[in-house]
Amino acid sequence: MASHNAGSRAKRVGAIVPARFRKDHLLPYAMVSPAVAVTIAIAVIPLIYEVWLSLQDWYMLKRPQPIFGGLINYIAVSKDGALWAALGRTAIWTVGTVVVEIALALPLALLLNRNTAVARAGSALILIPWVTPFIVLGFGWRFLLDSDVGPIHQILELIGLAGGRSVLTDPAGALAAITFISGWKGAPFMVIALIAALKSIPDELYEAAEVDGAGAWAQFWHVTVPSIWNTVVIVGLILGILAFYSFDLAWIMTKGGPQDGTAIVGIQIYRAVFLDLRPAYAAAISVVMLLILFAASLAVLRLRRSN
Amino acid sequence: MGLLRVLATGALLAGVALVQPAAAQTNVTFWQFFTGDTDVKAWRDTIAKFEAANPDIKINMELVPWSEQQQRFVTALATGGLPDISMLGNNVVAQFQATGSLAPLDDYVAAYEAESGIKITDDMWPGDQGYYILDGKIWASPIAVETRALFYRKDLFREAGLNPDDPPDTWEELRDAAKVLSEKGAGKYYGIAMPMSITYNTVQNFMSTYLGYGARMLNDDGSCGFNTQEFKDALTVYTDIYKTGGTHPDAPTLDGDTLRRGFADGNYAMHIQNASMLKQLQDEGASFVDEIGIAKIPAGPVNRTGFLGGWPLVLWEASQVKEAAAKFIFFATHGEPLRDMAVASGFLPGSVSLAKGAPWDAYPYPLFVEQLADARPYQYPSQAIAEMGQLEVDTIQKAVQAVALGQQSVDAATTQLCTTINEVLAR
Repeated sequence: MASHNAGSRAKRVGAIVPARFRKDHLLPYAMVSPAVAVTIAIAVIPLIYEVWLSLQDWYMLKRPQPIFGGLINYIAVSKDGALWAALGRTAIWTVGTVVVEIALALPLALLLNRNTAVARAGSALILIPWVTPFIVLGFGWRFLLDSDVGPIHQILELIGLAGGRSVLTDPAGALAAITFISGWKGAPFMVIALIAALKSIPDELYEAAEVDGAGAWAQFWHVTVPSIWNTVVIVGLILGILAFYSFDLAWIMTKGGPQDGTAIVGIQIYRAVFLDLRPAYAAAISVVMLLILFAASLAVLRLRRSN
Repeated sequence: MGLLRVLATGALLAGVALVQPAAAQTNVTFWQFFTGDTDVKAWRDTIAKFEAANPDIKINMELVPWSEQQQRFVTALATGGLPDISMLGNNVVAQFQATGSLAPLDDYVAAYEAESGIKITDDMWPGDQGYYILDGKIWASPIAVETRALFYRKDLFREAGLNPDDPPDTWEELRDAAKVLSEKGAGKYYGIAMPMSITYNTVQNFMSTYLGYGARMLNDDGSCGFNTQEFKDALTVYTDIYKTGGTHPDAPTLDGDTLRRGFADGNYAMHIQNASMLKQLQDEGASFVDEIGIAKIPAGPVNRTGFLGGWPLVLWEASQVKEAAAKFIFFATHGEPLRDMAVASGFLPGSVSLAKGAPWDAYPYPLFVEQLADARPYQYPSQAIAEMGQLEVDTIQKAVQAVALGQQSVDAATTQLCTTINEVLAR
């Protein structure tokens, strides 16, 4: 009797409630709603707050409470020569980091792409720079580049890339050095991704190429490279985004110097918030960075599709 | 079953009631910047004494390392969560006072003076008054002060043919001695561990040079006052220490801790440092500790001015328990509690009357205590400015670094420095 009543009630509800609101249709939405809620909480709300903040006039020293300032911070950003110079350095740093990552990772991945105990151990050991904190790496590299006792400095001096003092004392040399270190730290991530991509290439492709008379170089260029290209682009994009937002390494090693030679945008944002007490201005810089990064990412993805 | 449940609930409530304090306590949150075991213990002892004398007040100490305190304060200012009281660098008291987030201590000072008979301002160092008394009100109560003197190795002086009983007394003599010592050291050691990089230590040393040469950071109208011959002469003599080889070739990128470590390791013949340097050498058993001489900071043609470091306790405006918090501030920054803490942690007390007594009347402290009378803020003789927290970080250091590395002339670096300072002041 009870089940009969329940069944007829369900039929009545089914007749009244449109199909798209029925339980079986709502279930998928219910399943994804926690993920959506988390995304809104950790990404969308902070982004909205950041945009709101960037439209405030808030220099804590002169105006302890924010008031609406319209585009005042964006106008200041457009006129801030030091910031645009920092953006230029950040572009060099970002592209340089990804180039170093690919240049170091590709040969290593090819070397480690074999099923031996040494290769497996090497794949694990190679992660050390990736998992080591920036603070440790920063001080370690400062020692390596020390003009008195640094072994890397001795090598650089030997090949004429450094004089009697550390390359970190030269603006261009310092930027090149920390860009290399940034790429070196990120390379293991690229290595692991490339090894996975290499392992997914069917052996038949190499056999077919060999039958067609392709040598080792031709096989690499016409089989390996096209097969791993998507991985290189996507992982390169991720690592590039990480590099673009960097702050730690440059701050630890050079504090943005000498002569702002390594002052990348992450450092400018840090200075704006914590030293200059201008959080609204820092938010405006962040929004501009986000737009630049969005445009660059779209361009890279379009390039990938066109290839 | 029901009876059992009732009994269990009753027992639980009774237990809770037993652990509740008899009277409601006032909780005071305190951010403390030193994380070393000795310092933390010294503060815990002070807090225990205070709580024993004031059972209705509970001090909750949170450790906020020096390296993170600026981020924590700025974040708390923007989003909430400031403590009731905290330490603060002496140079940023004006910054936070300008944001309206500090509470003046005057009312509590009056009450404390009436109760203790101590005149608070008479017990502050002259330089500290410049930092803590703003707009005619008292915003901080000093715990510690520091000034820096010249530590030098008598054995290396003898080795280089210099008189160990006649250490450099002027900046020119320091530059020349550093050069001679470096030449004698021939890469084994350098003349002086002298900061030239973008680090606080650079401006903390260099301010003694420019004030000694009669230069001043701010004109009477509040604009940058560095564009003078006095400042240029000071910048020249300071950076000449690097250019003439008197210090490490990487000095423009070495931080203060690295230089201090280098002196302790015997890699330098001289170093400008605070009194704790000697204790460090003694604690580490440095082989040359008996050969250490200490002299006052070199003088310029106009005067001898020491760096004035220090940290006070401040009361935050957002505090809901200001009276209890202020009580702790004056307890910890005066009298026996401060002396005990200063002895345990090894700092010079910010109370003049304490610093002039035992144990600071024994070597090496009297020289430092004497120099404190002539230790000044960076912007001396001008009033403290809110922007000092920004200017202190990298503006003056950039000029020093650029000239030392030959990337800018003294004139160009000075012009750019003043442009930057004026831009910051005009915001």
